[in-house]
Amino acid sequence: MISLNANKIFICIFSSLFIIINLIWLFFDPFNTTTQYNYIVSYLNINIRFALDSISFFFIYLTTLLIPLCLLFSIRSRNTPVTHYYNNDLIFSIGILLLIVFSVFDILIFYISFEAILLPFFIYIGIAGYRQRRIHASYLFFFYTIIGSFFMLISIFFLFIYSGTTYLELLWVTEFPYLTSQLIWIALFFTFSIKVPMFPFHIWLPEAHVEAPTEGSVLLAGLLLKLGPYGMIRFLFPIFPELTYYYAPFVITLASIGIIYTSFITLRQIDIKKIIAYSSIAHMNMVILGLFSFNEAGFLGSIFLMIGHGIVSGGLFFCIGIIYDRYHTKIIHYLSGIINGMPVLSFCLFIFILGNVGLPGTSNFIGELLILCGIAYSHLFVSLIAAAIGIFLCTIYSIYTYNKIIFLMPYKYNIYISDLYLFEYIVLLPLIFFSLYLGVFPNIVLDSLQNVQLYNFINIFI
Amino acid sequence: MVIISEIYSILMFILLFIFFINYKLSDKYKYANVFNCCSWFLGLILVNSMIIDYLSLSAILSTHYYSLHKTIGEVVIKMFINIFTILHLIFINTYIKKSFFKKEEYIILLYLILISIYFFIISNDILSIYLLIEAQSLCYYILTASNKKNQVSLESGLKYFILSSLSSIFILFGFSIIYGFSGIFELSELALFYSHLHKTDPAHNIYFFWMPLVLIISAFLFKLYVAPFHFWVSDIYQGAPTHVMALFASITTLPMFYVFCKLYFALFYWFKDYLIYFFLFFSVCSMLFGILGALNQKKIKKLLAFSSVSNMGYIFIIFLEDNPMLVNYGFLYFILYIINTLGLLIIFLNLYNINNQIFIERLTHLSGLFNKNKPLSYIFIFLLFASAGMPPFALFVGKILLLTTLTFNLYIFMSFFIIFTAVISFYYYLKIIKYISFNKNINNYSLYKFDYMSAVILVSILAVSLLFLFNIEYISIFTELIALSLYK
Repeated sequence: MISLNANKIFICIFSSLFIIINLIWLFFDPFNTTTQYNYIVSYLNINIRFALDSISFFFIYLTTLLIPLCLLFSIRSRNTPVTHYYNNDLIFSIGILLLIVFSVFDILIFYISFEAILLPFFIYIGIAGYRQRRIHASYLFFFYTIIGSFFMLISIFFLFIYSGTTYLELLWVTEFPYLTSQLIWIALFFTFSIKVPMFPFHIWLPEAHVEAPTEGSVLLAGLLLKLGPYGMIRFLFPIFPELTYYYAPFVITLASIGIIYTSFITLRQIDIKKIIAYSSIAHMNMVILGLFSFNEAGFLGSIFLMIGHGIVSGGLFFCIGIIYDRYHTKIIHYLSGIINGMPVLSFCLFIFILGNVGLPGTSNFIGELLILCGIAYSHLFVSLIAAAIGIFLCTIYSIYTYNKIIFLMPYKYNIYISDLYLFEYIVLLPLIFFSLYLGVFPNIVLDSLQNVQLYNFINIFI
Repeated sequence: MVIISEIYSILMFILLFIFFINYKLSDKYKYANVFNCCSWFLGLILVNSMIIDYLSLSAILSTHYYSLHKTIGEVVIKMFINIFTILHLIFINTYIKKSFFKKEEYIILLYLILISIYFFIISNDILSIYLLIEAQSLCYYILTASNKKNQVSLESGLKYFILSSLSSIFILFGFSIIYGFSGIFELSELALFYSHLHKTDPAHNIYFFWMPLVLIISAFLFKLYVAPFHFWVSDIYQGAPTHVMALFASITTLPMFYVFCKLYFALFYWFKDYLIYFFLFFSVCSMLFGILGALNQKKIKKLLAFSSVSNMGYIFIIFLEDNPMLVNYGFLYFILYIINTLGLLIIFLNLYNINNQIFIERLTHLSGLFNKNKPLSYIFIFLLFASAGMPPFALFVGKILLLTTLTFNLYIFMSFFIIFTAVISFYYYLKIIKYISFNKNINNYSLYKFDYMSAVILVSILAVSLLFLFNIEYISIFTELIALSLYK
């Protein structure tokens, strides 16, 4: 068994990484249009290039923020029927792989780490739950993603055959034959749309969320879902700009359907985790709408919404995890009057719910506003209506859920509970801080994003 | 002297045999530790013969004997077999101690197999190829049936004897037709003969060309358990004791495959335009039958047997095109697969259920291993992912190298096929992982303490399979030699 000491070491490593990445932010040059902090690993006979630009920087920031919180959250001894095994090593390995994925500039290494994340996460979903359904969920998660990954593998080798390289920046300037590039585009889009997840391939996400433990849900919603749009920004937009523009109506249609469909589904859910899972599908589809609206506002908004959603949904899942720890249920029919026992938690949950709704002053508001602006600039009125419906329904189900579980009188058998412990404060407060701070001062992120070199790729379309 | 290491092996065999007989006949020592003595002795002999091979490399490279000349590729194959056998001798210790058959005879028979394999690899003569196949098989029949108290073992030994001797008869028949028409035994002369005949007789005389071709290829495919001829392998694997099964999985098929390649490049190379379609059929067939057979298996050995069938399908890609690099990567994939399978077999050979007094046989026996032994189950899970071909492991690289060497059209066809099979094969590998880590401990059994040396080998195998992701050249330099000596 991995002991608590190992967990402390892991937390120290990732917290120091967080401090380092904050220092990097201090010295980060927002006007630099190329990558910064380049580092080339020459191991045996291959060279792998790691680098930061503004986009990958904020995803790495999110990773180093969420991973130590997850490790911290897994310290507590919960009295559930689940095994008492600390899953730190799995979380740690997922974190390291995510750092590699977000910072590497080599498509093959990106693919390898992208698929290697499945390995710990599959085990993580499987061993942590207690219901028989968890095996089904982990299988769904694994097979949906692995099929997509294999398509990505084929397309990587198509790219390699034509360009003779797997370096990302060389691929950006290579031109590919028409038919081949279409095949590659579709295969890559298939891969990333499963990871987002977009409309026909979204079934695995709610299942995985419900069966995963709290930290797993946080990692899934906060970081793993971001791999899809991140891959699109890294590969689809720069390598095939014309084709991306050509296929944009198709993608926008899928995303609009996804937003409305998942929002309506959410209204009928009774499991809190499923509600948040479906709402994160709606939000991620919103991100896709922003990306494919092909203008400045939409692009910035979608990256901002990804960061905001990582923070807010992470906070929501932590709150649900705390509630589950006390009450041993996630069904909203069995939960009522939590505010009587846990006022502080109710306050924290309220802020995150407001963030999920997209109230002005929270981080998601900026993202959604920018995305709506972007959609309107591109005259995509149908998807504007879809996004508006999505936001409206999000308000309904979020407030309804909050109202149902927090207010009213408590049931008799769940009165004797304690409010937040110290480490739960430590977990929740940074997330609340970032959620509000990014909502009030969005320019600290947007300034860096505005001058990013990838922004040049958007300029092709304007 | 080119074959000096083989002669050394024969002399040492006689020595070992005398030593063994002496111990067996003397009441004084009661042959208590004779197995350990024999296995140490055999390991030393193998190391010595590898050293002798290395020292006589210059002679091998310079001389060409008439019928017993040895190429550098054959030395490499022999080296791999020696290494696998030394590992085998180390990690079967626990299994041998706990099981009930004659332990000392195993070493003698293993050594006999090894000697016949040495001569089998270097033989350039169709008659000696046939004879040495028979010499190996005789020992295998005995070893398969060596667990006399188990009826399944006896049955599988008989089954193996009947089926394998039938296929050997096919080989003999094919060779006799070739000899009847040409009067030649020697492979290089036959190759010359065939190439001339190929030019003069484009219609391909059906009796002379196709009859022996069909007979020999089908018989060799039978021995290599490629798909339409794979039905026997699961029963034999299941029936044989696990350490014998480890022999089948590690050192049997590699020389057989090498000699098949040799025959292919000597005799059938001139028919490759026609044979490509057959090999495509065999390859696709064995991928499909392998995964379909393994899909619902409850027994571990049968599952391994079927997964090795589907892996033979991947390896048979090398006959689809005339490219030396493809042969190189085929052998690379083969060796990486054997290394991975050895890792799995070490685990199966060492997990002993104390309560039920049995070794792990079914998948359900593995349930709850994660709670018993975390490091072992992590290694187990990684090995399973490695043999399924997940990216961070070497087998993935082997598969990719095989695929990318193909030309474009074939690449598209085979890559979709391989992806289809790989996704399905993930199902049964994940099923094992499900039993290990997700299921609770149903049987409430306790496990035997894992052997120290085996654990070291296991960890090093895992390290090797991770290391070769980044530098495949460490094995590739050896397999290149094999490919070059086949294409000489």
